[in-house]
Amino acid sequence: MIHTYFPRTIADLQPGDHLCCLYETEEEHRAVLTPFLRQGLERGEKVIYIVDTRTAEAILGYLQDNGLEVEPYLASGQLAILTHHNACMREGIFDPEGMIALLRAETERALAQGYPALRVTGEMTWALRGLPGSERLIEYEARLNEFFPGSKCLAICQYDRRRFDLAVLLDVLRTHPVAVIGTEVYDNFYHIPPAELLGHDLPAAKLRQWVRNLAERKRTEEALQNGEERYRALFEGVPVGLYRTTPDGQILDVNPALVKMLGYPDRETILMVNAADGYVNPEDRARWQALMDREGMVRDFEAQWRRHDGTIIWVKDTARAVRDADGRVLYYEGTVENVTERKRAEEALQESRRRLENRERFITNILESVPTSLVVIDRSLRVVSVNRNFLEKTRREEQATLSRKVEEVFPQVLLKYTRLDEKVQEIFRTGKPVEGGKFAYRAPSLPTRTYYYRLIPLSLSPRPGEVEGGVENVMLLMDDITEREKLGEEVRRAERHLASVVDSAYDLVASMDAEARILTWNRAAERTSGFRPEEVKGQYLPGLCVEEDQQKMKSWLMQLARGQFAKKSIEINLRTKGGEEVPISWVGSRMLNDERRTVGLVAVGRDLTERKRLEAQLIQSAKLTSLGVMAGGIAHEIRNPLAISSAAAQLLLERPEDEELREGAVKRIHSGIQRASYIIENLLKFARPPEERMVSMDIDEALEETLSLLANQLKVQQVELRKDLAPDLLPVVGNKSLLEQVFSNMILNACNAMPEGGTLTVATLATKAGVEIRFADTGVGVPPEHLVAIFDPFFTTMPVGKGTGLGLSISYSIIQQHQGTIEVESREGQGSTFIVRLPVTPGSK
Amino acid sequence: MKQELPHILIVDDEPDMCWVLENILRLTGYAVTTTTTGTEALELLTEEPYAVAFVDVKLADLDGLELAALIRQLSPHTAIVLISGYFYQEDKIINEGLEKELFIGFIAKPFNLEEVRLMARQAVERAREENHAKDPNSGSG
Repeated sequence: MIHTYFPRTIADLQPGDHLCCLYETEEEHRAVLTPFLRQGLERGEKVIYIVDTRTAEAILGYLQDNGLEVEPYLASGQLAILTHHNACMREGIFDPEGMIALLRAETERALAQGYPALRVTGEMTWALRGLPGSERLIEYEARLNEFFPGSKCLAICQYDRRRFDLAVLLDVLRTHPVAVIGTEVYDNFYHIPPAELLGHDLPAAKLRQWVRNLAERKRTEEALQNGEERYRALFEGVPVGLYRTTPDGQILDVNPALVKMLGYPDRETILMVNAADGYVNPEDRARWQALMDREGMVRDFEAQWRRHDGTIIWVKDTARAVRDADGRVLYYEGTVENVTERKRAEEALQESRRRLENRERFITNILESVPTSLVVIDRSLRVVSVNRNFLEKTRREEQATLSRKVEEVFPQVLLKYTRLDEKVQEIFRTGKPVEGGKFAYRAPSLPTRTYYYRLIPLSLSPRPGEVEGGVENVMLLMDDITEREKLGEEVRRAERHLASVVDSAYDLVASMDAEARILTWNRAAERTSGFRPEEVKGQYLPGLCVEEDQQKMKSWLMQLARGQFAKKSIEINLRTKGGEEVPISWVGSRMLNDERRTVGLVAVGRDLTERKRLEAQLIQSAKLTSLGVMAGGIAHEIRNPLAISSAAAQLLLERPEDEELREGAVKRIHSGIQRASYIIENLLKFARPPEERMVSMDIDEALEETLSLLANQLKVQQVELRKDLAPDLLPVVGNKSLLEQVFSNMILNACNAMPEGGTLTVATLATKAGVEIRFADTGVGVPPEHLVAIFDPFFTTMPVGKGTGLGLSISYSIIQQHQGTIEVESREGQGSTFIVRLPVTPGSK
Repeated sequence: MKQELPHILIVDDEPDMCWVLENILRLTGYAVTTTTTGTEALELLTEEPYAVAFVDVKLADLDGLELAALIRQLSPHTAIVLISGYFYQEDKIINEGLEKELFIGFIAKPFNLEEVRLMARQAVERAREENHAKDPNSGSG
């Protein structure tokens, strides 16, 4: 018969196998029993070892040395180490039938306990002790062959070759279908079926077996012959790589598939290479070798091999060691599969999986760390996901939030107010995001916070042929804008405050862009100009000025915008909506941004109408005051010619016949009346309100006129007048009566400074810029501390009732109107000099 | 009899005023000398005695009141009449001067001729009385 099943190694053993193991050394015993026991345990089989010469500890040591933890197996009862006595010598007699019945029962029990099989091995040395029944050993072994085939039990009977008789060992060989000699597993063709062995005609049985064996041998050799050829063909044609190498790495044979796989030109070239050098990583070879040494084979060992051209491939290698009769390794033979593609695909898969994980982690990190609350809501309005920010802000637990309905997570009032649920449903319908708005949310035991929320559809990636995927979820984004709101509120309050300040200002305030286009226009500006803010917005400010000054305003503003030196203030009249002219004094400044670029202009204007009126009034009243001072002098002046005329007239009446007297009297009456009327005329000139118009005038002439009015006053006050007037002065454009008022102020002031009399020197001289007029007295002088205040209104050192203290301040303002200057030099006790400077060609006025 | 006429000095910085006063008094029967400055007046007073001096308050070189005081010292027998377009009869300074007898009369400009004549007559009488009281032996005049 031809065995269709033939175990080649211990690993190939299966339930139903019955083996003998003939060993000579302890190493051989260990090498066979260790894998046998281990395999049984690892296959989940019940394993029983029956010791005789060895101890349980020694056997357990085999497994432990092999790296197996035995305690769990012993504890569960899967592994049992028994003595022969308690296993099969209960009666003190060896009974083959009872023994086999026991084995059958144990097998049944193991199966009942759920084990797939029972694996037994026993040391047979007990049979040497000559116990009753020992002579039936061979009969027992033979009968076991009737039990094992088809059973769920397998067994190895251990025979120490050093202890048993050769005759017994021969019988042992005859009674076991499979024999392990040393560590090699053999299909035992010396085995004789038990029926024949136990029959009465043993020689006949032997002869039959030998003949059968001869026939078997022949057939085997023939089969081998055919097999050899077929094997060759297979070897040459199989599409997997096949090899045979020696333990020191010499390559004995390779098939064409492997030559091709490794890219060698032919088999001969590859045979020159050492197998160890084919590994990319030398440690792979070492690992392979270690596995081979321990297990006698390697399965599906994956490693990187280097091809002939240096490129690297992944291979899967399955090999076994082939040994000689003494157990020495003759060579290794194995199959090699190129798994580079699969490996690459695996790596790519792994890489993409890793990348995906990284990306997921990355996105999760972002979502967790953004300072925005995120809530993902599904179609059934349940919360699918939230980030940490949301949980912290709302003081919610994750498990009390996830997969809850929206109305369980958000307060009813809030939902009612925001109609969040409706909006979410709308997004599922339309796929369009919703810019939400603001809402207030108060988490337990936290102050109310304000949020700005948005709803964004999260879409599935579109399927081929679709433009857009459907909406899978809706994400609610909540930005905490409490602080921003608070800040905004403050800014708005400050703005309102500023606006009201600007609006309630008395002065006109116009803010403009850098091109002088009006942006804001306050209430005072509206009041003065008659234009409402919306009427002037976007217009150029110069365009609102009187026509002749528009260019002037424009260039002033442009100078301001460029940051160039510009006049601090400028007087330009505004043209009102009603067409009137309003005099305005403007001051301006520019607004800079952080880069110091001009982004805007501000012009603040003061309506001068009222001021001009008051100023005129003041000047007039001051004039009347000086008129009073003058009147004293003038009265005396006028009474003289009156007295002369009157007396002369009386003389004429008394002596009309006296020719000589009459002539003298009439002449004096006439000249007296002329003198009186001249004085009165001058006085009226002075008292008359000033003319508005500026005219070209001669300064010297004006001075002379003023001095003639005051000559008497000077005389009364014992003031000697010195005049040092430059001839041919260029005319000055000015208001004559106003300037005369200044001169008279200067002269009266000098007189007051000289109560004991003194000298007043009035000088004029032409300068580069115009005309300079000096009034130098030899009076008491001005103390330095008074110099600063001397032009201030109502500043006076005179006793109450004498002098208003307005003279100098009015003079100052009049000279300013003429674009001139007035200043004083003074030394206490020596006198003062007032210097008035007037331009000969003042501005455009 | 020319020596018998009472001599009157007129001091006024306006020549026209001098001319008018001179004519009034000369035609009334006085010997009249005029001057326009205080300094000259003092000089004239040292040269010969004057019964009366008409002095204007405002002069170019001297204040009329000062001049009056100087005349009182220099020529105690000369009666002084103050004339002014600046002061009035009610002015404090005028009343004080009258009380102190710095001057015996005051004429405000403009004036009637009679005022001047009356004042001249009173002054001459006063001066004569004073001369008699102080110097009874000189009695020929």
